[in-house]
Amino acid sequence: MVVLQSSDGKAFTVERGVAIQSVLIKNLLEDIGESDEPIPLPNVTAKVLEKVIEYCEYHVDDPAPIQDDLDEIPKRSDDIEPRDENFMKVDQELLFEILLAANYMDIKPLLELGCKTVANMIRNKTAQEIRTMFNIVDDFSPEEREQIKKENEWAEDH
Amino acid sequence: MADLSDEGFDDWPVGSGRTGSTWDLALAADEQHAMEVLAQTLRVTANPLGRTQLAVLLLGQVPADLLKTAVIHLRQLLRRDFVGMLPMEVATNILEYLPVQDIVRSASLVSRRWRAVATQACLWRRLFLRRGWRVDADRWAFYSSLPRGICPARVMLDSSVLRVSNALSLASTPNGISALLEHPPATPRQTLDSVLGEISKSYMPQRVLKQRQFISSSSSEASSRSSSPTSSPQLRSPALAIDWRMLYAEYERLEGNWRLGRCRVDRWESAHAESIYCLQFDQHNRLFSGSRDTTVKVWHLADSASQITQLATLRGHTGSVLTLQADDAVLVTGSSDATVCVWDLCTYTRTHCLHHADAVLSLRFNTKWLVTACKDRLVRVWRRDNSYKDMFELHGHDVAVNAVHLYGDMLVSASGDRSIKVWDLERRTCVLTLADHVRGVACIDFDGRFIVSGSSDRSIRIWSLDSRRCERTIHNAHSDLVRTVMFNRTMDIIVSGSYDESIKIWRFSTGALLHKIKNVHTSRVFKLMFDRSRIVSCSHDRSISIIDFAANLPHARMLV
Repeated sequence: MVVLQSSDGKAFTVERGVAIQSVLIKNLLEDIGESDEPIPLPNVTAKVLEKVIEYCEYHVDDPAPIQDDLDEIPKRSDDIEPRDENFMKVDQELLFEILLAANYMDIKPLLELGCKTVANMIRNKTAQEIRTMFNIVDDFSPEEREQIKKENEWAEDH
Repeated sequence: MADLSDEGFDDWPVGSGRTGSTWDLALAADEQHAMEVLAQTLRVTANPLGRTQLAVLLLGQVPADLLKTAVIHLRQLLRRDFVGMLPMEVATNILEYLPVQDIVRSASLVSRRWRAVATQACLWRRLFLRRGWRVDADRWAFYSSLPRGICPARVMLDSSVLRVSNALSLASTPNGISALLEHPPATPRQTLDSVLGEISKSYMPQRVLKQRQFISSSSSEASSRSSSPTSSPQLRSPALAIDWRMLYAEYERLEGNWRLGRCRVDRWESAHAESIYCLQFDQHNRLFSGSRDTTVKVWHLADSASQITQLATLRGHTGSVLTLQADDAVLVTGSSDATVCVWDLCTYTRTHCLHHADAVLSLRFNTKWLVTACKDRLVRVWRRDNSYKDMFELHGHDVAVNAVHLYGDMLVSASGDRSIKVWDLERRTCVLTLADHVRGVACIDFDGRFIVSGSSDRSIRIWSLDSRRCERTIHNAHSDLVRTVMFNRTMDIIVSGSYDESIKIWRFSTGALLHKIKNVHTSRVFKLMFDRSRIVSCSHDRSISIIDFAANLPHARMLV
């Protein structure tokens, strides 16, 4: 068993197989060896860590992800399993924190799942709809806007 | 609390962001002050739970009709600018999942930060490579090195390409990509000097990294084309800042041209004195053609497609040249005179002559094997690594073998007996016979997994080696015998040529006809070949045609 400690001091005891889906923790365990000391995760709150562990527990038997998979097919985000899709039905703030944690803890499948989820939110939306959805301020000057429109003309006839 | 179910729409007035006018209330000075005090009190309350309690208490004071507005506003605070606030690599990863249209039309217009992410070279490089597109590094070095104002110059590339190509036959191929380039004779030295810079390995897809290295040679052909003596080779590292977004845009257009049939057709009449039966072109813009006039001609195909220059005529056969294949070093030709000739492409001399019992209808070679299809029903196989000394025969077809194709140790043969056979060359046995065509099979193409065949029954069939059966049939693909066929699964394209004088382009995945290209030839089409940007074909009408889909796309020829 491995003990993970969130930034707000909460300790989570998980099986090794669950913990080492995080490459960060895997490398750490390999460096320090087995130990009863809790592993501190100063960038991850208990609320987020709980979610991350839930994900890792469910996916504990998944095959290891292939590294650097620059395949010859465009990436797709319409292949999320229903259970994972449900898992990702959280508010933006938590989704954001999960993405940060997955990036920090180096859990590639969870990071990809988060990126797919966000991509699906963005897909088929106009720039204005995206701004509204994520509460973003349009900071372009009119001149920049004109310039961009010109640059993007190549995509218009497809 | 917002959940995903309300991410698809928003009842907050469009156009009102954080600075929405709803909150710009005209407050009296003392009210303003009171609000600031309250806010301060909230901030200094150390316990987050306490703060929450106080906030809820305050919200309780809001009139019910305004509470809804307040909740909507609060919801904004829970929103996150994922692309703007996440680390660059994560933001890039998110955009990589979007269709390119969404990146260009929406994502890049959201904000400056989004634009920075959406226009990054590394994002577009990844999108580019994921389309299965690759860049010919050597060509890029040439193109990108041109001084501004010069059209992506055919002259420089073209005049040097032959010598570079010839050099390959003498070159070993060490690892690495550093290109060793000579000064093309037609180009002022300083032009090239000023333009070649550094090829960054990190920008190169692996496939390109595996590419050959150019080494200069002083072959007779090369020096005869030079107006000045060959200067000693100089090792250079050409500058390579690939504009992946621009390249992506051009290749997107190129694919659109294929899809929509936007092409330019150039025809070279009387390229030979009689029917032209076979041809092949390569990435160095060399074109080889074989004819009933018994000669093989070597041409230089200009990138502009408006020029074709004859470089050499190879004589030696006494009958029609029916089939040929070339690599960087050698050319192999087969003829109705019952011989196969192997030619050295440095010196254009014949190095081997392999005798057959009857006309040689088709041949293919790779590094290990040379395989020929003969009218006498036999397939003959030579190992190339011992100077074509050992030969064995493959028996199985009942009439003439019309076409062969190689992939590693796998050979596919097609015959007038209506069957296609797959052979394991190491074991010298036939491992599969495919016999759905109802008349003789005239042509095949093979990529290791799929076979596409054209037949006298006018159909095109697509076969899978995985399922060991015919996956799709295009019935009545042409109105006469389908004489030549080639496919590319990455491009999702099949191109066929027929005795009905037409060339047709099909979707590989569906068998749907994309285009029929008419008025390319005035008689039977005997052979065609295509790459990413063009189809080159030859015919009984003695002409060579180039169907060019990249006429206005200067960088399209760098696609491999």
